[in-house]
Amino acid sequence: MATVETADTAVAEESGVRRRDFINIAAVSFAGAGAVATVFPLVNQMNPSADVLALSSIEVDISAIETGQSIKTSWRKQPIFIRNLTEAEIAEANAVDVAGLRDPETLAERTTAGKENWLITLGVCTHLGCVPLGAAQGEIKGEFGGYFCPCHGSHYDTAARIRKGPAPTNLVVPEHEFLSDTVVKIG
Amino acid sequence: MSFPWAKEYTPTTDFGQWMDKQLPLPRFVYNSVGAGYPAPRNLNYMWNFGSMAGLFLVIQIVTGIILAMHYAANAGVAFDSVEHIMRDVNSGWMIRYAHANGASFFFIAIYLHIGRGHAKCCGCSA
Repeated sequence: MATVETADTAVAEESGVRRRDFINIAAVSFAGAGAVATVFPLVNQMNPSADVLALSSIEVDISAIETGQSIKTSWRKQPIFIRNLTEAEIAEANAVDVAGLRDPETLAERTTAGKENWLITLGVCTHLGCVPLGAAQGEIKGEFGGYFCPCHGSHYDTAARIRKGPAPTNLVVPEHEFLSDTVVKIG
Repeated sequence: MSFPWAKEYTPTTDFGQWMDKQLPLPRFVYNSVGAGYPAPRNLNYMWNFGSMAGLFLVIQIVTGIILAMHYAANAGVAFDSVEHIMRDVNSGWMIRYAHANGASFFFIAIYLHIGRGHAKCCGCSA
């Protein structure tokens, strides 16, 4: 420091803040902003990279799935069931007393508004992780017409809710949105 | 690097005194580059290149360690891992360019720093 500034020599503004205080605060603030801008990319590089993010969501063409049919696909290395419910199956799911279910959820809560016929769930039984039957043609759909897990006999209804057997919760509905009438994005 | 004739580091706030007792890092900075390290009046801008070389060394170490986290030193996948850094890793392209250009600037700074010591006179008053 070239000069020693004391309270006597300091030129105090009317507010009591010296010009040097202002310059110090401004300089430290500027350096702090620069430090944050420097550190940000060094920390951000630890976040999921673009190739990982690209794998985390899939787009599925559902135009070929007729009413009453369903398909199996995979997402994040896990099976996904996409089912086009019939009117009867929707009516059956809505007729159930939700309060009496083990994992109370309505069909509307598990589907997208306006597209209640598209039931999209993980094909992983919530008991011990087997792949339930019922998605492919000719497979046993269980006592409630939805999915049936052959490992320990969990029965899921037409909204893929657990109705009978050891599984504790409904089949998981992954985050999804309809990009158009025929394409759904999962994840 | 503290000198008996230099200005002593005296923290004024309670926190400053507590910090100086626990971990005298501010004292170290003060005695190295602050007012506790008096320097001749006739230093010119050529004296910046020493700390600049030190800064570039830190940049090379930090970016180099980060790049090593994403690089695969295997002839079969090395090229792909570099492309992965350039395309996929967040800010990876900037970290790699900082490492490449930082190497060049490290040499520029270090040569000017050495040259400043060897030159007979580089703007000093002598």
